[in-house]
Amino acid sequence: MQVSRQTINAIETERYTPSLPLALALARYFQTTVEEVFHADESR
Amino acid sequence: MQTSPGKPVPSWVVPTLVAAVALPTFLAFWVGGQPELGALWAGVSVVFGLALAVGGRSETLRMLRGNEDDERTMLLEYKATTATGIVLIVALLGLFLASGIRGENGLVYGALLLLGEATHLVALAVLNRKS
Repeated sequence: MQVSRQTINAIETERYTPSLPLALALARYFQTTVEEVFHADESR
Repeated sequence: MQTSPGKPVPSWVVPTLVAAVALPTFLAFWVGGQPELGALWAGVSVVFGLALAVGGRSETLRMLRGNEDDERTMLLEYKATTATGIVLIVALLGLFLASGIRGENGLVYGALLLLGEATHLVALAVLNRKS
């Protein structure tokens, strides 16, 4: 995926919203869908 | 799936470039008859380059060195560059106005402000066409 450990941590702690390609790559890595990994915050 | 914006540069490149500014800096001030001042400014460049080179493994320093390169650090780099641009424009505007108050023509500051605005305009136009 070629992103740093800090970037993964920032995604996990919701300090950074990944790009669509990275979100898709993460979902594929975990063999699931983007919707299962990420939840859209409607209030933002 | 490729999500990295580019290939990171080796960690020695940016510190070397920063330190390399020392030589033309010293030469410029030497030609201008102020070698001591040139040595001082050249020393500042060398010290900054050395600090970058041996400054540890913090993510901020790795981003400054250009060897931390993914989409998040690229976004942070954009934001930091934008902040730098805003600070420079505000400083130039202040110096431009101050030169007007002092009764000077403000040509240098005005020209730099125009250069900045022209660069912004051209960059927006080019990027808009490419996107």
